[in-house]
Amino acid sequence: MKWLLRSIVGMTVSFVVTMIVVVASFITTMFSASEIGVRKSGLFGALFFEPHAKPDGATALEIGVSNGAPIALVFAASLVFYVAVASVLERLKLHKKRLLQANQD
Amino acid sequence: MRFKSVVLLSRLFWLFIVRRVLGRGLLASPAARLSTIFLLVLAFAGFNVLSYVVIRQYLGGTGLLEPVLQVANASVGFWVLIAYTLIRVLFMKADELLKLSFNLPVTNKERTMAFALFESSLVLLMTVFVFGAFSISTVLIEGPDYIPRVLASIWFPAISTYLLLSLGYYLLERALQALRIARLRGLIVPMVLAFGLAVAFPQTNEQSSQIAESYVLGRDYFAPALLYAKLQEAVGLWLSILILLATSAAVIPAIVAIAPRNYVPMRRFFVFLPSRLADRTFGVYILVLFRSFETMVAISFIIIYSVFAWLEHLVFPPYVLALITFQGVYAFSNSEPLRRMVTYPGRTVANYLRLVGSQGVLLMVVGIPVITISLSQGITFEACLPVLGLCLSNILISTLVGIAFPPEKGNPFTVIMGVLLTVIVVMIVALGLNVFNFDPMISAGIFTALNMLVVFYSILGMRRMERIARHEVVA
Repeated sequence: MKWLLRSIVGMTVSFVVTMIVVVASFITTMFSASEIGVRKSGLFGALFFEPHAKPDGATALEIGVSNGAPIALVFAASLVFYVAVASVLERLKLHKKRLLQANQD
Repeated sequence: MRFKSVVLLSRLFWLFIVRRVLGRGLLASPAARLSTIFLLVLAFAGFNVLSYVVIRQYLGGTGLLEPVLQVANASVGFWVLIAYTLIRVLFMKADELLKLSFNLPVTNKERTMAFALFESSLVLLMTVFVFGAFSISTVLIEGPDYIPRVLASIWFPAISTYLLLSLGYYLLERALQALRIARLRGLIVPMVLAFGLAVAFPQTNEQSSQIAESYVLGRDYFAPALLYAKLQEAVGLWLSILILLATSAAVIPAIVAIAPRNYVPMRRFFVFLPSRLADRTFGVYILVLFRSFETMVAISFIIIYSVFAWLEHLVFPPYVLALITFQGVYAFSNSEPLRRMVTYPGRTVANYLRLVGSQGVLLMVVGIPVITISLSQGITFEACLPVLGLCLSNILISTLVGIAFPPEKGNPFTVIMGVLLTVIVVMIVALGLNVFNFDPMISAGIFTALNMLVVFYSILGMRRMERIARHEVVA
């Protein structure tokens, strides 16, 4: 039960972190692409962003995900990082508890 | 009136709020506190960088910054009004905070003034958040010569508008006391402020388009809102500072004189719906929700908006219904005594379902007439469905916010922090999912899964709080 809970929390945290990374790289890509018809990609090729001219002269934007692998990698990395931090924190808490108990005796 | 006790008292309010905010709910744990501060600083920094990049990209070196600054100047009043409304409405519930000072040797007037000082520092903080990014990036792009201009066109008008708003508010409070309806000010003040916003918004728009037009035509445009900027341009910064000081010196004594001398407590409940409903536990939850003052405020806003939309033939899906779903923030803490009164409060899942179910009933009761009005105006039922989905998901999310960041009387900030954090996370997730260009059905599936996650965390939080109350775990 404890591990189920911990993995759900870990998944949630890494999901939010991944979304933050995706949105941040999306915004930076958006501001670096200014020429019409030039395809820009961000986040190691995961996202693409392409402004192109419509027949009536307006500019249309095409955005999307061209390669999911870097995003999955970000998710996995943040999950591993979270698990590492959580387990180290757990150890430290146990250690503190033990020290306090040793003090009482 | 003694100035020293005013300052002391407002410092007491600050200390109380800061300690209260940092010691409750999720924020009680140092890790959560650090990451919250980090996220807030990150959001402000991101806001700054974004505004710098946008301004440099679109306005840098074009000379267009001048009219943009004028437009910003014209909209300062509106933004200060928004900040003022938010703080006022938030602190309507904050009688507890004032009660802190009832056993101290201060007069009512000193108490009111101390609260005004406390409130003005909050409004200032909010204005810094709204206009800080714009000011910083403008000065970074145009150089330090722009500092006096930014001061005269954004910060001086903000101060004067705030002072005038306070004066207006105390005049209103005096009028309510004279009419003997001051106990209802929790209902009347938000309405007056909302009316003010409804009037100020089109006016600000109109002024902005006039400024743009006169810039294109090369005319000189003047409005009372631009007074400080014009003075700074014509005579210099020092004179506009002098004028600012002079107007403040005129308005502040007026505020002190007009502030009410006696304290009238506020109404908290409206007793309606038969008490027989309390036979069942679910009925009690319904009574708690329906009789609370905030629900009444939200419902009256919705009614006013619907009638307005009906008369003006506004064809717009009933997004106003979302207002009522924000009651979820108070759902958990308002019904907390119900779970404390009995030896065994029932299963957590059942309690959660009662919490959410009572809000669902409220949504249905208010939603059916509102949606009928929208349908009669020619909005299709398919257009109303996303609104319902939004409302349901909002009920779940705001209930979670109310559990993770429990609001208390006298401390509206814990909730605001929670709502702010939630809004940031929800926006980021929505934007991120938007990038993926999923099929609408898949998106709906993902959002449903996320809502299930919200339900899971809410039940988890409630269970944890119950166990803390039974001394099974350490808080």
